[in-house]
Amino acid sequence: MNTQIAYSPQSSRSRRGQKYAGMLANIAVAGLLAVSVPAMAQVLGTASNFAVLGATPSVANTGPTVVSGSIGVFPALIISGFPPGLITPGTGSLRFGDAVAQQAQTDNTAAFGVLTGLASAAIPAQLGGQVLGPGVYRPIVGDFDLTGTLTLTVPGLYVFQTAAGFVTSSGGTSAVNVGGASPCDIWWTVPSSATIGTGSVMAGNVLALTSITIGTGASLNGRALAQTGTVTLASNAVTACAGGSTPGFIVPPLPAALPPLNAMGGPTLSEWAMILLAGLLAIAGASTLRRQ
Amino acid sequence: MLRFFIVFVVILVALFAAELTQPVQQAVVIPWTEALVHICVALITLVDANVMVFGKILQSTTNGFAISIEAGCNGIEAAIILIAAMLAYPAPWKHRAIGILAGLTAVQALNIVRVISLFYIGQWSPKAFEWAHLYVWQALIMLDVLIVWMIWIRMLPRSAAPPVSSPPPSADRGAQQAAA
Repeated sequence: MNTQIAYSPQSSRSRRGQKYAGMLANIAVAGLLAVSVPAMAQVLGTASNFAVLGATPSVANTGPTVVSGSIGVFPALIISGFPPGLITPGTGSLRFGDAVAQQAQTDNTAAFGVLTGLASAAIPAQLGGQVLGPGVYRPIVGDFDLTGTLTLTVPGLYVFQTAAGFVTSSGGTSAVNVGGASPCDIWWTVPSSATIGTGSVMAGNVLALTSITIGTGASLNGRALAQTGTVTLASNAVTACAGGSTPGFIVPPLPAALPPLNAMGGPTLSEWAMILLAGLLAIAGASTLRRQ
Repeated sequence: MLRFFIVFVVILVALFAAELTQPVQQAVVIPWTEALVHICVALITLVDANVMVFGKILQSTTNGFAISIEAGCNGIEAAIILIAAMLAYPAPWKHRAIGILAGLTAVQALNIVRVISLFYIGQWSPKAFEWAHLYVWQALIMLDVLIVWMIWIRMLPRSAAPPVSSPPPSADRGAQQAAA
Protein backbone atom coordinates (compact mmCIF):
# COMPACT_ATOMS: atom_id res chain seq x y z
CA MET A 1 0.00 0.00 0.00
CA ASN A 2 1.25 3.43 -0.83
CA THR A 3 0.50 6.17 1.58
CA GLN A 4 0.21 9.76 0.58
CA ILE A 5 1.14 12.11 3.33
CA ALA A 6 2.60 15.51 2.89
CA TYR A 7 4.95 15.24 5.81
CA SER A 8 6.54 11.88 5.24
CA PRO A 9 10.28 11.68 5.85
CA GLN A 10 12.07 11.50 2.52
CA SER A 11 15.34 12.48 0.97
CA SER A 12 15.68 16.04 -0.30
CA ARG A 13 16.11 14.75 -3.85
CA SER A 14 12.93 12.72 -3.56
CA ARG A 15 11.09 15.67 -2.05
CA ARG A 16 12.29 17.92 -4.84
CA GLY A 17 11.13 15.45 -7.46
CA GLN A 18 7.77 15.11 -5.79
CA LYS A 19 7.47 18.87 -5.46
CA TYR A 20 7.98 19.23 -9.20
CA ALA A 21 5.55 16.39 -9.82
CA GLY A 22 3.03 18.12 -7.59
CA MET A 23 3.54 21.44 -9.36
CA LEU A 24 3.11 19.79 -12.73
CA ALA A 25 -0.03 18.02 -11.60
CA ASN A 26 -1.49 21.21 -10.20
CA ILE A 27 -0.70 23.08 -13.40
CA ALA A 28 -2.29 20.29 -15.39
CA VAL A 29 -5.46 20.38 -13.30
CA ALA A 30 -5.62 24.18 -13.44
CA GLY A 31 -5.11 24.02 -17.21
CA LEU A 32 -7.84 21.44 -17.54
CA LEU A 33 -10.24 23.63 -15.59
CA ALA A 34 -9.29 26.71 -17.57
CA VAL A 35 -9.84 24.89 -20.85
CA SER A 36 -13.21 23.69 -19.67
CA VAL A 37 -14.49 27.14 -18.68
CA PRO A 38 -15.84 28.30 -22.06
CA ALA A 39 -17.96 25.18 -22.46
CA MET A 40 -19.25 25.46 -18.90
CA ALA A 41 -20.01 29.16 -19.04
CA GLN A 42 -22.78 28.47 -21.50
CA VAL A 43 -23.82 25.21 -19.98
CA LEU A 44 -27.50 25.98 -19.44
CA GLY A 45 -27.97 28.20 -22.44
CA THR A 46 -31.57 29.35 -22.76
CA ALA A 47 -32.68 26.92 -20.07
CA SER A 48 -31.24 29.36 -17.54
CA ASN A 49 -34.35 31.53 -18.10
CA PHE A 50 -36.54 28.79 -16.66
CA ALA A 51 -37.09 28.09 -13.02
CA VAL A 52 -39.19 25.06 -13.88
CA LEU A 53 -38.96 23.06 -17.08
CA GLY A 54 -40.81 19.81 -17.72
CA ALA A 55 -41.28 17.49 -20.68
CA THR A 56 -44.18 15.10 -20.63
CA PRO A 57 -46.98 14.75 -19.73
CA SER A 58 -47.03 18.10 -17.93
CA VAL A 59 -45.83 20.48 -15.30
CA ALA A 60 -48.36 20.07 -12.50
CA ASN A 61 -48.89 22.26 -9.50
CA THR A 62 -51.19 22.22 -6.51
CA GLY A 63 -51.46 24.99 -3.96
CA PRO A 64 -50.08 28.51 -3.82
CA THR A 65 -46.69 27.89 -5.38
CA VAL A 66 -44.65 30.98 -6.14
CA VAL A 67 -42.11 30.75 -8.94
CA SER A 68 -39.56 33.39 -9.83
CA GLY A 69 -38.61 32.71 -13.42
CA SER A 70 -40.31 31.12 -16.39
CA ILE A 71 -42.15 27.83 -16.34
CA GLY A 72 -42.02 25.76 -19.49
CA VAL A 73 -42.98 22.40 -20.86
CA PHE A 74 -41.92 20.60 -24.04
CA PRO A 75 -42.94 18.47 -25.93
CA ALA A 76 -46.15 18.32 -23.86
CA LEU A 77 -48.44 21.34 -23.79
CA ILE A 78 -49.86 21.19 -20.28
CA ILE A 79 -48.95 23.36 -17.32
CA SER A 80 -51.60 22.93 -14.66
CA GLY A 81 -52.18 24.69 -11.34
CA PHE A 82 -51.27 28.25 -12.34
CA PRO A 83 -53.27 29.74 -10.69
CA PRO A 84 -53.44 29.10 -7.78
CA GLY A 85 -49.72 29.05 -8.38
CA LEU A 86 -48.21 32.23 -9.72
CA ILE A 87 -45.09 33.60 -11.31
CA THR A 88 -43.56 36.58 -9.58
CA PRO A 89 -44.42 39.47 -11.90
CA GLY A 90 -41.63 40.50 -14.22
CA THR A 91 -39.56 37.37 -13.69
CA GLY A 92 -40.90 35.08 -16.37
CA SER A 93 -43.82 33.56 -18.23
CA LEU A 94 -45.55 30.28 -18.97
CA ARG A 95 -44.26 28.51 -22.06
CA PHE A 96 -46.49 25.73 -23.42
CA GLY A 97 -44.55 23.57 -25.85
CA ASP A 98 -43.34 26.45 -27.96
CA ALA A 99 -40.01 27.01 -29.68
CA VAL A 100 -38.57 28.75 -26.62
CA ALA A 101 -39.39 25.79 -24.40
CA GLN A 102 -38.09 23.42 -27.05
CA GLN A 103 -34.77 25.23 -27.25
CA ALA A 104 -34.57 25.29 -23.48
CA GLN A 105 -35.06 21.51 -23.38
CA THR A 106 -32.33 21.07 -25.99
CA ASP A 107 -29.96 23.21 -23.91
CA ASN A 108 -31.02 21.39 -20.75
CA THR A 109 -30.13 18.04 -22.34
CA ALA A 110 -26.76 19.38 -23.46
CA ALA A 111 -26.02 20.77 -20.00
CA PHE A 112 -26.86 17.43 -18.44
CA GLY A 113 -24.33 15.79 -20.74
CA VAL A 114 -21.62 18.30 -19.88
CA LEU A 115 -22.18 18.03 -16.15
CA THR A 116 -22.36 14.25 -16.01
CA GLY A 117 -19.16 14.08 -18.04
CA LEU A 118 -17.08 15.90 -15.42
CA ALA A 119 -14.52 13.84 -13.53
CA SER A 120 -15.64 13.44 -9.96
CA ALA A 121 -14.56 12.37 -6.50
CA ALA A 122 -16.54 9.73 -4.63
CA ILE A 123 -18.02 10.70 -1.27
CA PRO A 124 -20.51 9.00 1.05
CA ALA A 125 -23.99 8.92 -0.43
CA GLN A 126 -25.59 10.46 2.65
CA LEU A 127 -24.97 14.16 2.23
CA GLY A 128 -26.56 15.17 5.52
CA GLY A 129 -23.89 16.28 7.94
CA GLN A 130 -21.18 16.67 5.33
CA VAL A 131 -19.19 19.87 4.95
CA LEU A 132 -17.81 20.22 1.45
CA GLY A 133 -15.70 22.62 -0.53
CA PRO A 134 -16.03 23.19 -4.26
CA GLY A 135 -15.73 20.07 -6.33
CA VAL A 136 -17.46 17.50 -8.47
CA TYR A 137 -18.82 14.66 -6.41
CA ARG A 138 -20.43 11.29 -6.93
CA PRO A 139 -21.63 8.78 -4.33
CA ILE A 140 -19.30 5.97 -3.36
CA VAL A 141 -22.19 3.53 -3.35
CA GLY A 142 -25.84 4.02 -4.36
CA ASP A 143 -27.56 7.36 -4.81
CA PHE A 144 -27.15 10.67 -3.08
CA ASP A 145 -29.58 11.16 -0.23
CA LEU A 146 -29.96 14.28 1.85
CA THR A 147 -31.23 13.85 5.39
CA GLY A 148 -30.03 16.69 7.55
CA THR A 149 -27.96 19.61 6.43
CA LEU A 150 -25.33 19.68 3.72
CA THR A 151 -22.96 22.58 4.24
CA LEU A 152 -21.04 24.13 1.39
CA THR A 153 -18.12 26.15 2.61
CA VAL A 154 -16.93 28.69 0.08
CA PRO A 155 -17.87 30.12 -3.32
CA GLY A 156 -17.12 27.82 -6.19
CA LEU A 157 -18.53 25.15 -8.40
CA TYR A 158 -20.35 22.25 -6.78
CA VAL A 159 -21.59 19.42 -8.95
CA PHE A 160 -23.31 16.39 -7.43
CA GLN A 161 -23.59 13.50 -9.85
CA THR A 162 -25.91 10.95 -8.31
CA ALA A 163 -25.95 7.44 -9.71
CA ALA A 164 -29.68 7.17 -10.42
CA GLY A 165 -32.20 8.96 -8.20
CA PHE A 166 -31.91 11.70 -5.62
CA VAL A 167 -34.05 12.13 -2.53
CA THR A 168 -34.14 14.64 0.26
CA SER A 169 -35.93 13.70 3.44
CA SER A 170 -39.40 14.93 4.27
CA GLY A 171 -40.73 16.92 7.17
CA GLY A 172 -38.38 19.84 6.86
CA THR A 173 -35.42 17.79 7.95
CA SER A 174 -33.15 18.42 5.00
CA ALA A 175 -31.41 21.54 3.85
CA VAL A 176 -28.49 22.78 1.83
CA ASN A 177 -26.57 25.42 3.70
CA VAL A 178 -24.91 27.20 0.80
CA GLY A 179 -22.48 29.10 2.99
CA GLY A 180 -20.65 31.46 0.69
CA ALA A 181 -21.61 29.59 -2.46
CA SER A 182 -24.13 30.84 -4.99
CA PRO A 183 -27.07 28.50 -5.59
CA CYS A 184 -26.41 29.09 -9.29
CA ASP A 185 -23.10 27.30 -8.91
CA ILE A 186 -24.64 24.21 -7.34
CA TRP A 187 -25.67 21.47 -9.74
CA TRP A 188 -27.48 18.21 -9.20
CA THR A 189 -27.42 15.73 -12.06
CA VAL A 190 -29.98 13.00 -11.61
CA PRO A 191 -30.04 10.23 -14.23
CA SER A 192 -33.47 9.13 -13.01
CA SER A 193 -35.93 11.11 -10.86
CA ALA A 194 -35.42 13.60 -8.05
CA THR A 195 -37.69 13.96 -5.05
CA ILE A 196 -37.36 17.02 -2.84
CA GLY A 197 -39.06 16.05 0.41
CA THR A 198 -41.75 18.13 2.06
CA GLY A 199 -40.40 21.19 3.80
CA SER A 200 -36.90 20.77 2.41
CA VAL A 201 -34.76 23.84 1.89
CA MET A 202 -32.99 22.99 -1.32
CA ALA A 203 -30.47 24.95 -3.34
CA GLY A 204 -29.05 24.47 -6.79
CA ASN A 205 -30.03 23.50 -10.28
CA VAL A 206 -31.66 20.09 -10.33
CA LEU A 207 -31.24 18.48 -13.74
CA ALA A 208 -33.15 15.22 -13.84
CA LEU A 209 -33.33 12.87 -16.77
CA THR A 210 -36.86 11.80 -15.87
CA SER A 211 -39.01 13.71 -13.39
CA ILE A 212 -38.77 16.04 -10.43
CA THR A 213 -41.19 16.09 -7.52
CA ILE A 214 -41.03 18.93 -5.03
CA GLY A 215 -42.93 18.07 -1.87
CA THR A 216 -45.39 20.32 -0.10
CA GLY A 217 -43.87 23.42 1.40
CA ALA A 218 -40.37 22.74 0.11
CA SER A 219 -38.34 25.57 -1.33
CA LEU A 220 -35.83 25.47 -4.15
CA ASN A 221 -33.39 28.28 -4.72
CA GLY A 222 -32.29 27.16 -8.14
CA ARG A 223 -34.02 25.38 -10.98
CA ALA A 224 -36.02 22.23 -11.53
CA LEU A 225 -35.31 21.00 -15.04
CA ALA A 226 -36.71 17.63 -16.10
CA GLN A 227 -35.71 16.26 -19.50
CA THR A 228 -38.31 13.62 -20.24
CA GLY A 229 -40.83 13.57 -17.40
CA THR A 230 -42.98 15.82 -15.34
CA VAL A 231 -42.23 18.42 -12.73
CA THR A 232 -44.66 18.24 -9.82
CA LEU A 233 -45.04 21.21 -7.49
CA ALA A 234 -47.06 21.61 -4.29
CA SER A 235 -47.17 24.93 -2.46
CA ASN A 236 -43.51 25.63 -3.08
CA ALA A 237 -41.24 28.59 -3.49
CA VAL A 238 -39.03 28.10 -6.53
CA THR A 239 -36.61 30.88 -7.31
CA ALA A 240 -34.48 30.78 -10.42
CA CYS A 241 -31.18 31.62 -8.88
CA ALA A 242 -29.36 34.77 -9.70
CA GLY A 243 -25.71 35.46 -9.20
CA GLY A 244 -22.77 33.19 -9.53
CA SER A 245 -21.30 33.56 -12.98
CA THR A 246 -24.38 33.70 -15.17
CA PRO A 247 -25.74 31.33 -16.12
CA GLY A 248 -24.14 29.44 -13.39
CA PHE A 249 -20.49 28.64 -13.48
CA ILE A 250 -17.51 30.24 -11.91
CA VAL A 251 -14.10 28.69 -12.14
CA PRO A 252 -13.62 26.51 -9.11
CA PRO A 253 -10.34 26.39 -7.30
CA LEU A 254 -8.48 23.13 -7.43
CA PRO A 255 -10.87 20.38 -6.47
CA ALA A 256 -11.03 20.15 -2.72
CA ALA A 257 -10.54 16.47 -3.08
CA LEU A 258 -7.27 16.58 -5.01
CA PRO A 259 -5.06 14.25 -3.04
CA PRO A 260 -1.59 15.23 -1.96
CA LEU A 261 1.02 13.91 -4.32
CA ASN A 262 3.86 12.85 -2.07
CA ALA A 263 3.96 9.10 -1.89
CA MET A 264 5.78 6.40 -0.04
CA GLY A 265 4.90 2.84 0.73
CA GLY A 266 5.45 -0.87 0.57
CA PRO A 267 3.45 -3.98 -0.23
CA THR A 268 1.41 -6.23 2.04
CA LEU A 269 4.44 -8.49 2.31
CA SER A 270 7.96 -7.48 1.36
CA GLU A 271 10.08 -9.84 -0.75
CA TRP A 272 11.88 -11.10 2.34
CA ALA A 273 8.61 -11.59 4.17
CA MET A 274 7.30 -13.67 1.28
CA ILE A 275 10.44 -15.81 1.24
CA LEU A 276 10.20 -16.23 5.01
CA LEU A 277 6.53 -17.15 4.81
CA ALA A 278 7.13 -19.69 2.04
CA GLY A 279 9.97 -21.16 4.10
CA LEU A 280 7.84 -21.42 7.21
CA LEU A 281 5.01 -23.13 5.32
CA ALA A 282 7.48 -25.53 3.74
CA ILE A 283 9.08 -26.39 7.09
CA ALA A 284 5.71 -26.84 8.80
CA GLY A 285 4.45 -29.00 5.96
CA ALA A 286 7.62 -31.06 5.78
CA SER A 287 7.73 -31.68 9.52
CA THR A 288 4.11 -32.83 9.47
CA LEU A 289 4.84 -35.18 6.60
CA ARG A 290 7.87 -36.52 8.43
CA ARG A 291 5.85 -37.20 11.59
CA GLN A 292 3.27 -39.09 9.56
CA MET B 1 8.87 -34.80 1.69
CA LEU B 2 11.26 -33.91 -1.11
CA ARG B 3 8.42 -34.18 -3.57
CA PHE B 4 6.43 -31.69 -1.47
CA PHE B 5 9.32 -29.21 -1.52
CA ILE B 6 9.83 -29.46 -5.27
CA VAL B 7 6.15 -29.27 -6.14
CA PHE B 8 5.73 -26.35 -3.75
CA VAL B 9 8.52 -24.36 -5.37
CA VAL B 10 7.33 -25.20 -8.91
CA ILE B 11 3.75 -24.14 -8.19
CA LEU B 12 4.94 -21.04 -6.36
CA VAL B 13 7.07 -19.92 -9.28
CA ALA B 14 4.29 -20.74 -11.76
CA LEU B 15 1.67 -18.78 -9.81
CA PHE B 16 3.89 -15.74 -9.32
CA ALA B 17 4.84 -15.82 -13.00
CA ALA B 18 1.17 -16.05 -13.94
CA GLU B 19 0.36 -13.16 -11.64
CA LEU B 20 2.75 -10.95 -13.56
CA THR B 21 1.19 -11.66 -16.95
CA GLN B 22 -1.09 -9.08 -18.49
CA PRO B 23 -4.19 -11.31 -18.79
CA VAL B 24 -4.07 -12.25 -15.09
CA GLN B 25 -3.42 -8.64 -14.12
CA GLN B 26 -6.43 -7.51 -16.15
CA ALA B 27 -8.72 -10.35 -15.13
CA VAL B 28 -7.80 -10.83 -11.48
CA VAL B 29 -5.30 -8.46 -9.90
CA ILE B 30 -6.66 -5.09 -11.03
CA PRO B 31 -10.37 -5.96 -10.54
CA TRP B 32 -9.65 -7.40 -7.12
CA THR B 33 -7.61 -4.37 -6.10
CA GLU B 34 -10.46 -2.09 -7.17
CA ALA B 35 -12.96 -4.27 -5.35
CA LEU B 36 -10.78 -4.10 -2.25
CA VAL B 37 -10.90 -0.30 -2.37
CA HIS B 38 -14.68 -0.33 -2.59
CA ILE B 39 -15.07 -2.89 0.17
CA CYS B 40 -12.82 -0.85 2.46
CA VAL B 41 -14.64 2.37 1.67
CA ALA B 42 -18.05 0.79 2.12
CA LEU B 43 -16.97 -0.47 5.54
CA ILE B 44 -15.37 2.84 6.54
CA THR B 45 -18.43 4.85 5.56
CA LEU B 46 -20.54 2.79 7.93
CA VAL B 47 -18.91 4.66 10.79
CA ASP B 48 -17.12 7.61 9.22
CA ALA B 49 -18.51 9.92 6.54
CA ASN B 50 -15.26 11.84 6.15
CA VAL B 51 -13.74 9.77 3.40
CA MET B 52 -13.43 10.16 -0.35
CA VAL B 53 -12.29 7.84 -3.09
CA PHE B 54 -10.24 8.70 -6.16
CA GLY B 55 -9.84 5.48 -8.06
CA LYS B 56 -7.58 3.44 -5.81
CA ILE B 57 -6.90 6.31 -3.40
CA LEU B 58 -8.77 6.71 -0.14
CA GLN B 59 -8.59 10.17 1.34
CA SER B 60 -9.81 11.62 4.58
CA THR B 61 -11.76 14.83 4.07
CA THR B 62 -10.90 15.83 7.62
CA ASN B 63 -7.14 16.13 7.31
CA GLY B 64 -6.27 15.18 3.73
CA PHE B 65 -4.42 11.99 4.66
CA ALA B 66 -4.63 9.49 1.84
CA ILE B 67 -3.63 5.93 1.15
CA SER B 68 -3.30 4.35 -2.25
CA ILE B 69 -4.10 0.67 -2.56
CA GLU B 70 -1.65 -0.63 -5.12
CA ALA B 71 -1.33 -4.02 -6.78
CA GLY B 72 1.02 -5.29 -4.06
CA CYS B 73 -1.33 -4.24 -1.28
CA ASN B 74 -4.12 -6.64 -2.10
CA GLY B 75 -2.98 -9.73 -0.24
CA ILE B 76 -2.73 -11.77 -3.42
CA GLU B 77 0.93 -12.67 -2.88
CA ALA B 78 0.26 -14.05 0.59
CA ALA B 79 -2.66 -16.02 -0.81
CA ILE B 80 -0.50 -17.40 -3.63
CA ILE B 81 2.04 -18.79 -1.16
CA LEU B 82 -0.72 -20.49 0.81
CA ILE B 83 -2.39 -21.87 -2.31
CA ALA B 84 0.92 -23.23 -3.61
CA ALA B 85 1.56 -24.99 -0.30
CA MET B 86 -1.91 -26.52 -0.24
CA LEU B 87 -1.63 -27.72 -3.81
CA ALA B 88 1.79 -29.23 -3.16
CA TYR B 89 0.83 -31.01 0.04
CA PRO B 90 -0.57 -34.54 -0.41
CA ALA B 91 -4.29 -34.13 0.28
CA PRO B 92 -7.64 -34.96 -1.32
CA TRP B 93 -8.80 -32.38 -3.82
CA LYS B 94 -11.95 -31.69 -1.82
CA HIS B 95 -9.86 -30.71 1.18
CA ARG B 96 -7.56 -28.64 -0.99
CA ALA B 97 -10.52 -26.72 -2.36
CA ILE B 98 -11.93 -26.10 1.11
CA GLY B 99 -8.52 -25.07 2.39
CA ILE B 100 -7.89 -22.66 -0.48
CA LEU B 101 -11.31 -21.09 -0.04
CA ALA B 102 -10.86 -20.71 3.70
CA GLY B 103 -7.32 -19.43 3.24
CA LEU B 104 -8.35 -16.82 0.69
CA THR B 105 -11.13 -15.66 2.98
CA ALA B 106 -8.86 -15.43 6.00
CA VAL B 107 -6.08 -13.57 4.17
CA GLN B 108 -8.37 -11.13 2.42
CA ALA B 109 -10.51 -10.46 5.48
CA LEU B 110 -7.41 -9.64 7.50
CA ASN B 111 -6.05 -7.53 4.65
CA ILE B 112 -9.24 -5.44 4.68
CA VAL B 113 -8.78 -4.91 8.40
CA ARG B 114 -5.15 -3.99 7.69
CA VAL B 115 -6.06 -1.36 5.10
CA ILE B 116 -8.74 0.23 7.26
CA SER B 117 -6.55 0.23 10.34
CA LEU B 118 -3.64 1.79 8.44
CA PHE B 119 -5.95 4.48 7.08
CA TYR B 120 -6.69 5.58 10.63
CA ILE B 121 -3.26 4.91 12.11
CA GLY B 122 -1.77 7.14 9.42
CA GLN B 123 -4.12 9.96 10.33
CA TRP B 124 -3.10 9.62 13.94
CA SER B 125 0.67 9.30 13.52
CA PRO B 126 2.85 8.88 10.43
CA LYS B 127 5.52 7.14 12.51
CA ALA B 128 3.03 4.68 13.93
CA PHE B 129 1.82 4.11 10.40
CA GLU B 130 5.32 3.25 9.24
CA TRP B 131 5.81 0.86 12.08
CA ALA B 132 2.45 -0.82 11.67
CA HIS B 133 2.77 -1.03 7.91
CA LEU B 134 6.29 -2.38 7.72
CA TYR B 135 6.41 -4.59 10.78
CA VAL B 136 3.18 -5.28 12.64
CA TRP B 137 0.91 -6.01 9.72
CA GLN B 138 3.47 -8.04 7.81
CA ALA B 139 3.90 -10.22 10.87
CA LEU B 140 0.16 -10.51 11.38
CA ILE B 141 -0.48 -11.47 7.76
CA MET B 142 2.25 -14.10 7.96
CA LEU B 143 0.80 -15.39 11.21
CA ASP B 144 -2.65 -15.52 9.65
CA VAL B 145 -1.38 -17.63 6.74
CA LEU B 146 0.56 -19.91 9.08
CA ILE B 147 -2.44 -20.48 11.33
CA VAL B 148 -4.66 -21.35 8.38
CA TRP B 149 -1.95 -23.69 7.09
CA MET B 150 -1.52 -25.48 10.41
CA ILE B 151 -5.25 -25.84 10.98
CA TRP B 152 -5.71 -27.17 7.47
CA ILE B 153 -2.95 -29.75 7.87
CA ARG B 154 -4.39 -30.90 11.20
CA MET B 155 -7.85 -31.26 9.73
CA LEU B 156 -6.71 -33.45 6.84
CA PRO B 157 -8.03 -37.02 6.99
CA ARG B 158 -5.54 -39.69 7.99
CA SER B 159 -5.87 -41.28 4.58
CA ALA B 160 -4.35 -38.15 3.10
CA ALA B 161 -1.00 -38.99 4.63
CA PRO B 162 1.53 -40.69 2.34
CA PRO B 163 1.86 -44.49 2.57
CA VAL B 164 4.07 -45.64 5.40
CA SER B 165 7.08 -47.71 4.30
CA SER B 166 6.91 -50.35 7.08
CA PRO B 167 3.79 -52.57 7.43
CA PRO B 168 1.41 -51.79 10.30
CA PRO B 169 1.71 -53.98 13.40
CA SER B 170 -0.57 -56.99 13.58
CA ALA B 171 -3.60 -56.99 15.86
CA ASP B 172 -1.84 -59.29 18.33
CA ARG B 173 1.29 -57.17 18.52
CA GLY B 174 -0.84 -54.10 18.91
CA ALA B 175 -2.72 -55.73 21.80
CA GLN B 176 0.55 -56.74 23.47
CA GLN B 177 1.93 -53.25 23.18
CA ALA B 178 -1.27 -51.78 24.60
CA ALA B 179 -1.14 -54.17 27.52
CA ALA B 180 2.49 -53.37 28.18
